[in-house]
Amino acid sequence: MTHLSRRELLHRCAASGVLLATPVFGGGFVDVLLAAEQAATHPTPPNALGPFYRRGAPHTATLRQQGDPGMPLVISGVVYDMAGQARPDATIELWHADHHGHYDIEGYHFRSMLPIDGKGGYQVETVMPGHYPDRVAQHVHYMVKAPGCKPLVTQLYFATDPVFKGDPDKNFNADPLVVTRELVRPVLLTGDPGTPTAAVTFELVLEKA
Amino acid sequence: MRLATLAGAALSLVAIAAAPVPRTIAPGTHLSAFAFCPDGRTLVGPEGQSGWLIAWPAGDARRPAAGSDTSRPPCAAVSFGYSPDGKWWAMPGGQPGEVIVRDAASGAEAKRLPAHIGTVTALRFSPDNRFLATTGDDNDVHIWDAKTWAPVKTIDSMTFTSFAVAWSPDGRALYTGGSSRNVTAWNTATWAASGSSAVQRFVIGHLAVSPDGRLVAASTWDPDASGRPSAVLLLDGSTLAERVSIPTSGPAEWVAFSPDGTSLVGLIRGQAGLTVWPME
Repeated sequence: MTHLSRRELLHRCAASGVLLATPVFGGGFVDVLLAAEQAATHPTPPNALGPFYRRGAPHTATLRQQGDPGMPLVISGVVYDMAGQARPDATIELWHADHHGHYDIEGYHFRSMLPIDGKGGYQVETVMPGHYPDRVAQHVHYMVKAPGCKPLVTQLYFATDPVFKGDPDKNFNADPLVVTRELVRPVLLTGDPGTPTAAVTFELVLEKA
Repeated sequence: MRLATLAGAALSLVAIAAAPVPRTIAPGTHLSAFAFCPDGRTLVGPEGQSGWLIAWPAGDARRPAAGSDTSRPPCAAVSFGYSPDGKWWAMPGGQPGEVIVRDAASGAEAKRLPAHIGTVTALRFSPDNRFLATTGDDNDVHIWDAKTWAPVKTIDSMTFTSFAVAWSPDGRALYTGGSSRNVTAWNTATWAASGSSAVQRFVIGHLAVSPDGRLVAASTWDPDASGRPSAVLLLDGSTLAERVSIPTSGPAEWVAFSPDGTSLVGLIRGQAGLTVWPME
């Protein structure tokens, strides 16, 4: 029998995930768009907030600073409500560990209150997070709020994470906090093959309050 | 003050309680939290992933309804506490951010509080039984009226998650600690911060206040699993200055003073049972 400590309880909360090397605009991109459209028909699954949230993150879409180690990562998406309406009035707070798996608990590195455009869209430039020592899978935290909607607390996971052993459909729950395959998103590699940038689309659908 | 460490649940409980302790409290118990029952002689806590409650001595009249809520997820066991008058006990509920208050005698659910966004990290009733303080991953501290269960106050000025909350015996101060790596005292008349300890190297995992209010025990966690030693710090209850640091073999998940103040009890990660530090 596995005995979880209080800290463990508090914290709980490959290649096949790569759709394309380059260019971006191929069949895989269409698949992503279709998946996004389908995803907008039901709320994004919630996931643990985790112990490292910090109120007061800066308003910025650029979290990657010069010299930060790790693969550059661009995450983008649109915030919808259950009626399928884009929500430009939403707020997105995002935070994650650095390339080495460490959270900045003194400052606000890799933490942001993201700007949202007039169509409910967001995009953030950061780096692929490392593996936090007490967690299995790489992840990015989200807290999303909009008037008239329930706050959404969730996490984004990456299909390329080695923990999924190339088969996130089968192995998504290798991390016990990944309770649904839906939160494991495909990763598109773009740019110079020697210095690729990872791109992930993560739509956020809010439930009515 | 003399400090000594006694490891092992059976030995520990002899040191805590005046009455003999049933042998059923054997090493091998793996709790995620514990609390002294209002009688001051009984300890109770949720164990493991099942969320079942174990209590000893067995048959205590105020023993919670063991196993009555086994559908709770593991996160339900991260905090747990009695009201000092023995009327209520509370713990996080099955839904994130939820607190369930139960009648301590019957185990019947009395109230569900939509307390936080994300995990409820700690909760504690005030010494006069009037309030329940809760903290969560959302950085907030909520104070609830323990009669009407209406919200009384929200402290939303913090930018860190608190993993611990504790009241002074006179109810005039509320202590919080967590990712800020220090302990903050809040004046409960104004709800303004009235002091804070020095910033530690580690996250504060749990807090306890001695019955006379002179000491605040703060357990520290290693936030990055780097192997650095953890400790239980004894702080001055008034100034929050560090008086004693007790090294521990692992992070102290939970600490509590015995109601008579003669012992400090700790739940050390990686150790079965409880560790007790007799205090003179």
